[in-house]
Amino acid sequence: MTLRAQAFAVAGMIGLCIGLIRGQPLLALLSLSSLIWIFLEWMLFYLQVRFQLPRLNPMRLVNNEPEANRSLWADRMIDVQIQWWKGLRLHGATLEIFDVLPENLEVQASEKQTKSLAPSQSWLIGSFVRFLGNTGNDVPNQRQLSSYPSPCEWRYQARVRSAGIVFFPGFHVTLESTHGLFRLETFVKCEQAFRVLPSFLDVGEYRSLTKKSNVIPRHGVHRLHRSGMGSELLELREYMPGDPFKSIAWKVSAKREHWMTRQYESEVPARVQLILDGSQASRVGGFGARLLDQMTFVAASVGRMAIHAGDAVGCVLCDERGKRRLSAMAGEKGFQILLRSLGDFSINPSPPPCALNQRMLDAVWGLLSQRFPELMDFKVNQYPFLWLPILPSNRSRQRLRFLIAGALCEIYGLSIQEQIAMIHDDQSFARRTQDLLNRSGIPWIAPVVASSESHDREPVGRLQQLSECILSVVGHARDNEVIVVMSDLLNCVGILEFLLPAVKLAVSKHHRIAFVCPTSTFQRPSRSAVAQSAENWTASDLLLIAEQSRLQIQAEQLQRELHRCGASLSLSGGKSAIRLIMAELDTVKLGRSKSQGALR
Amino acid sequence: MSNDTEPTSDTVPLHPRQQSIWTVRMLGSVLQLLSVAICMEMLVGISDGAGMLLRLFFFVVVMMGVVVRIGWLSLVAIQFSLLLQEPRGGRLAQAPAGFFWITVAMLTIIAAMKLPQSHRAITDYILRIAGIGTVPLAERSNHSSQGRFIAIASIGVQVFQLLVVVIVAIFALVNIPIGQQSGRWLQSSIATGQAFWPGTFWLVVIVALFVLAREIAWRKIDGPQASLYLRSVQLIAHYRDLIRFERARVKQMRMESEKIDPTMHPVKMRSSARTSKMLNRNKQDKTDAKGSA
Repeated sequence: MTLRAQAFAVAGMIGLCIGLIRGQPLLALLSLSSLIWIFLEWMLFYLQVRFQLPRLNPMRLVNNEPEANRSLWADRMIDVQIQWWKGLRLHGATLEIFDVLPENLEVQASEKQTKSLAPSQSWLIGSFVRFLGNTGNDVPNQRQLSSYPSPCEWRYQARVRSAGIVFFPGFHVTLESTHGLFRLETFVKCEQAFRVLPSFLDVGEYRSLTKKSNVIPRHGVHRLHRSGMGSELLELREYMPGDPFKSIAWKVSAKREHWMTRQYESEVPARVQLILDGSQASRVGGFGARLLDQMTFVAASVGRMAIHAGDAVGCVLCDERGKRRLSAMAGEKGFQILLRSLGDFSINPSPPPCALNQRMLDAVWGLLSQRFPELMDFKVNQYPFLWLPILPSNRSRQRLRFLIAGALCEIYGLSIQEQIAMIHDDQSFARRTQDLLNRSGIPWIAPVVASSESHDREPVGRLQQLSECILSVVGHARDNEVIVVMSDLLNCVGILEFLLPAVKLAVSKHHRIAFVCPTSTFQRPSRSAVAQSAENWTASDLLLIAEQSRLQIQAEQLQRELHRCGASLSLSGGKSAIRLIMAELDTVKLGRSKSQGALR
Repeated sequence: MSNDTEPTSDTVPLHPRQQSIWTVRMLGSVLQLLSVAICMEMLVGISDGAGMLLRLFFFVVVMMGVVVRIGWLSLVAIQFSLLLQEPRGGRLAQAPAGFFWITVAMLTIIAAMKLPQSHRAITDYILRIAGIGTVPLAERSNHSSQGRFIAIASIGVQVFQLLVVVIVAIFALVNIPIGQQSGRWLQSSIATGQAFWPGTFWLVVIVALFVLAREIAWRKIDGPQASLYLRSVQLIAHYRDLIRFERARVKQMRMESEKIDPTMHPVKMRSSARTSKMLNRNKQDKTDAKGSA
């Protein structure tokens, strides 16, 4: 029963009483008619709830497939189609179906919605504008049905933000009676989970696919000749700094009067070992804007290019839960395994504990109201009357806490003793709340994690773990491998002594080692990030400049330290990082000591 | 070109056809609002002697009520008018136009409640009947003949439903043994020798309806809701005892943890002389170790 119906019923009852007492039959009759009318509306509404709603049976097709065993790709569009029962008859009632989407999906706004986003000047004018332009279908993943024959399907498009998982829980369905006197909110489960694979760059973007020699292979052999340190001569070319002296073609150089180098075919494919640091600090942020998303993009792109060229790619995935090593793989199957591992690694684990706050309560209240509206009904989720606290705001907070605790205990199947503990223990309450928000696909932003504090709680431990990973890779490596370490090292400049010995060891074993240090702005830190004139700077611009200046200083120090050890560094998780790694890979294949043309 | 002159999403000009549709719809909505307000004025019966300002104020209040979806205000307005204007002690039989008047009043109230949802559809329907083809086919809600028939039929059903409601209300009001009917009720009771007639009948009907409503509401809830309800009832019944157990448990846990590691509770540490001595001793050990190094 809505507030409107309650007001209507109260007015009817008061009018009936006054009419009977004062002997005014018309007043009594009008009031009694309104009461009977409400009762009749309730009966009709109940019949619809009883017989129409269970047959709604909505179904979701993602990319025209009903099954959820297929994979999606990050940063690509998906087509979602919703279908439901064709014979739905609403008889004037309004049915609203809202497809509850995870945060990992970004719904593409329709043109109608873009126009309706104009800010309203005041509440009254806004109400009048809504009254005149009431369409009800402005949100792409929501449909309002009030006519017969009502449409039985709709489509919308969404973009997947990042690798990991996309979980569709179901539909929030609201049925409102003809005149808005009664409303029922329920959640119809239609669970579908899709693994999301990371996006990657195409092969041809950074590596030439053309053959350098014109040797016709035998039938059935499709060998791609590449330069390397084998025994077969591939070509002669001009000498470049860094080329080994033993490959100089002395006679040809003497004839041409400038240095020439013999280029040999590669016999042993190079191997790339990717080390991804998925610690808590790299998982903070919205989906698609996390440092980990940049790392997985670089790793997938490098893996794609290397595997396409016949090189093997290995991977070490490490975070607070431990490390997982994937041995070097080649071929299309190996690439699929790598992508699946990166996708699973991108799923956020349990968040670090943080203190309970009002934003967390509000967020979980909104989530429960959307996903479990039947558990938030005051008729079934009751709480004891208490005299304390007296202040209305505190009483309201306590009431909220009782309701949320009851619903959470029902969802998790906890005992009543645990419910009491949750009501009176902030830590226990915050832990369950965080867990529910995290499982529902909310990214690690406030209020799931604390926004003010740094999430890099143990940088020394993180560097030690990275160091162990490098040593493990070196232990399993052959000669001349490329080790790529992807981690946020900008905040660890002062404690690099925990990492540098392992780097030095890897370099001394003739491996190439490259660091990819992604930044939250997706760019190398610089003060030119704010491209406005100094007169238009706002406080946030100044804060950004200060942050960029600090990062720039740290980046320079980091680059100096790593270069001193013989490692290279890319300070962004984008194309420049991929270019750097491919240059290192080429260097290894050529047997040179310096890489050429790499942007750092 | 500067950025100021570039069109944004808020300033996208509408197509002339769309603009004309929007204008016609807006006019239709305003006209419907005005007609509801006029009906309300007639029902409330503002006297001709009332000033123009009063009428205008009434119009604005009614229209605002409809716009912000508080149509029940119209019921209150009519009730208030009846309270002031209807003579006391009147009889239902003396008002032959009562049935018609009540039906019209209820229709107006329902229209005021329904208007925010249906004014666009009504405008479109009227335009289609009038043969004005300003509304594109794609935007019509009921574009099939079956849909139109169902829409008209549902309006008819609602009017019939309203008539039934008013008839039932009249029947009930005649039989309620309060006010005018109390004398007749008394005479009937004495005549039939049943002291509580027809009170018994009405009592049974009301109790039966109440039980039915409760039963329907209870049977509507599903398994998790029933479980949560039982949990809530248990919590309310044993809240004091449960709280006492919880406090005892927390106290015991704190004492146990204090035994294992006294430094876990800094508040207690300050009050404990033994712990402070231990901390001082640790500090002394550290300084000694530094000195020896």
